[in-house]
Amino acid sequence: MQLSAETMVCNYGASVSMSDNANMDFSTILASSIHDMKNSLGVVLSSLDELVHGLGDALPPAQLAKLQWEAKRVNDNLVQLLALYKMENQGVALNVDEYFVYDFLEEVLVSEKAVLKTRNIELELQCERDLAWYFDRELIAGVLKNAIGNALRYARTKVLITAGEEDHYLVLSVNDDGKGFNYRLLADGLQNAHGVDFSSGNTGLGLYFTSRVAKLHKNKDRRGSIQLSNGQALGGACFSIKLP
Amino acid sequence: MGVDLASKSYLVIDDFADMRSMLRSMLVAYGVTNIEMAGNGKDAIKMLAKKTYDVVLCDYNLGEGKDGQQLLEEGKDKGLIPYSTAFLMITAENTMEMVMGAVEYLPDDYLSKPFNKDMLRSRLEKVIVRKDDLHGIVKLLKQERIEDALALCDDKIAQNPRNLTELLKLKAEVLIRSGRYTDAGAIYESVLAKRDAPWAMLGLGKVYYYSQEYAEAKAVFQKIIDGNKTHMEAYDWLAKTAVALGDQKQALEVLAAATVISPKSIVRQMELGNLAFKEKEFGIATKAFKKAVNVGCNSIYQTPSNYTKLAKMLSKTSGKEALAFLSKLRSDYGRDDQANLHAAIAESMVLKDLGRESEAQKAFADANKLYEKCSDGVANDTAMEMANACLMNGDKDRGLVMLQSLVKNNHQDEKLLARVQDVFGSVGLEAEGQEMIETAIREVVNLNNKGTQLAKSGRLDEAISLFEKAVRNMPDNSTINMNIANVLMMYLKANGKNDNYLYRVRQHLERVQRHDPGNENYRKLNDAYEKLMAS
Repeated sequence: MQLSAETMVCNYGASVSMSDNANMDFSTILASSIHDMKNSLGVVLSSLDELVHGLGDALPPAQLAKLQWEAKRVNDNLVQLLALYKMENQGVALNVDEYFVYDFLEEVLVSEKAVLKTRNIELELQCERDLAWYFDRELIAGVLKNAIGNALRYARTKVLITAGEEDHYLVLSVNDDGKGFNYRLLADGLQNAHGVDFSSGNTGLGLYFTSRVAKLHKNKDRRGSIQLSNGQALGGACFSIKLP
Repeated sequence: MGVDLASKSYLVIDDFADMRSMLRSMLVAYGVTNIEMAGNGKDAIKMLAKKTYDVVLCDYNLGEGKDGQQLLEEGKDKGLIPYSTAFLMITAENTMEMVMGAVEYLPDDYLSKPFNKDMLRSRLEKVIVRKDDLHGIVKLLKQERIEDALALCDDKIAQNPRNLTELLKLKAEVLIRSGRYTDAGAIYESVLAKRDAPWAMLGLGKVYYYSQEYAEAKAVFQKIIDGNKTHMEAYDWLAKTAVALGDQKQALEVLAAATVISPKSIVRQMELGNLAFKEKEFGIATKAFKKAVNVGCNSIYQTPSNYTKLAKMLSKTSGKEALAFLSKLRSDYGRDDQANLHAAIAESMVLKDLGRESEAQKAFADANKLYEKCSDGVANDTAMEMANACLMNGDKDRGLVMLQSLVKNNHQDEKLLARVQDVFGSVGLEAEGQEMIETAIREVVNLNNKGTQLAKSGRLDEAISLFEKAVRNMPDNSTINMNIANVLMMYLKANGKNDNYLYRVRQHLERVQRHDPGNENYRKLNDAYEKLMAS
């Protein structure tokens, strides 16, 4: 089998038992099915990656780009659902350590690279190289993937990611040059983060997950938070997460 | 970043052929040519034994046999994975639940699937840069040059480098290792003044623990767990602290909770099993040892006594199951004399319990034969078991001699003495046992005092020959070994250095370290020895 170098290493057929307990409740069954779906999607995503890479510099056909985009969206959603399941059922498992923010962001972006190529959007990262901060690497990566996914969806030409220290908080922002968040979301989005709006396709999962993760991050008596605004650096939407 | 990945040598370990070739193709894309691959833990260990790789990429899940963590533990334990080797663990899930080895057995980083070649590259580069920077300090630590290592830490810290946190972490660990708890505590406190960093909390908790401020230690470990329910190391320390506070019940609860979250850690299951056994919670103990036997069959932490403890507990309720675990012991260990010895001893006792007298006698005879065969390297536990079997099977004299020698070799080890007393108790010889233990201890103490007196009055030659004679009788006794090392060094200071005596000092110190790790006086003597070597 000839494998392309752009291949994603994914989870091959590893079955993961969620619990030793024979009396599984419904949420456990949900969680283990999500796991299984995620495994399948991993295979789909890596095959799509190979296809896109096989095209060289040529832009992939629209259907392929759409496939890749939607598959990734589903995958990121499943990751968030699993993380939420764990928070609900296994208690807080925040794995906080110190990381270099630039290195971390670079890694997050690398995993988005395949999608960027199909969208023809410029992505810029502004962050000081030596800035280090404490956070849960996996959870904050999930938050950023969600925010970047949204930004890519609405951006016209550019997405800007900034990171810096403000008033003893680390502020990570994702800006785009699209039309901005709608006013309803800005007005009550954070309070009704799990309100479902089927017409727009926004289930609120992303925001719910994101604000849960932000609040879990604590230092001394300060907590993390998120902020949505319009008209910042690129004129479009701006998502920010503040970590103490 | 200036890391030359292409010229390094790689070992890829994964049970799926597709995964191996994917990883290979990623490495090839960086220009790597030196790649070898293994499909299971056993092959990987063989390859690691033949060659030192610069980078090991290992999947946590390796199917049947060892998992990635067990492989890492074995490789480190056998010295096959030196510090210079970067070890990356590839995990299926984005959780750290598999993090459960001791600190020295952690991989250099985890990489969770899915990832692509750019992510792998970026992780590899970072790990290598990080390790290179600390290599000098680690080398000094390997040579036990603690002061030099600390000085090098300070040099680097003074330059306020990018990896300052990492250096502080390392320095504080070294300080703890050398017993300077106050200095270590100061580092942790200074970090914690600004930030509830879990690593610093854990360190501070350890400092409290070692300084015997158990209530403070308990509060710190509890706080870590409140913030992260999967911080397994904090559970282990909390349990240890609870034991120190005399709250065995809480220790049991903590360990039980930890084994639910991370059931695959054999060490934790063993801790739980032993503690539960002591507390007469035989249900919990049985379950824990069953887990230990079942999850740990490929682990370096596995020991035959997990099987025999389990068998002895089961013999009260299910003789058949007890004997089945002892056959499993034999089959898991193959032709290992020590393991067969354990099995035979336990069989003789289980069969006796079951009233199968003649079979018990036969097993006891087997045990005797094997014991003679491996009498050189028998651990205390094994010796105690054998003594117990002797007493149970009517060979009282032999049992007594063995227990006496155990007491003499460990006259200050309260735990061991208590267990010897238990053995006497279990065969109805409390009074006799008590007297034997007291006599043996008195004998050692008298000898020690005599030798110390001689040394104090400057009769070093006589002191040396007295201690040398004593140590032949009780080769593992840490007090005697330390005293003789001390007197030898006094002699060397008075009469000038000679290689033979220096070698003997080293030997006695090594015995202490092997037999009684963590002995407080050992560190002081070792420092004195280092100074003497350097002078």
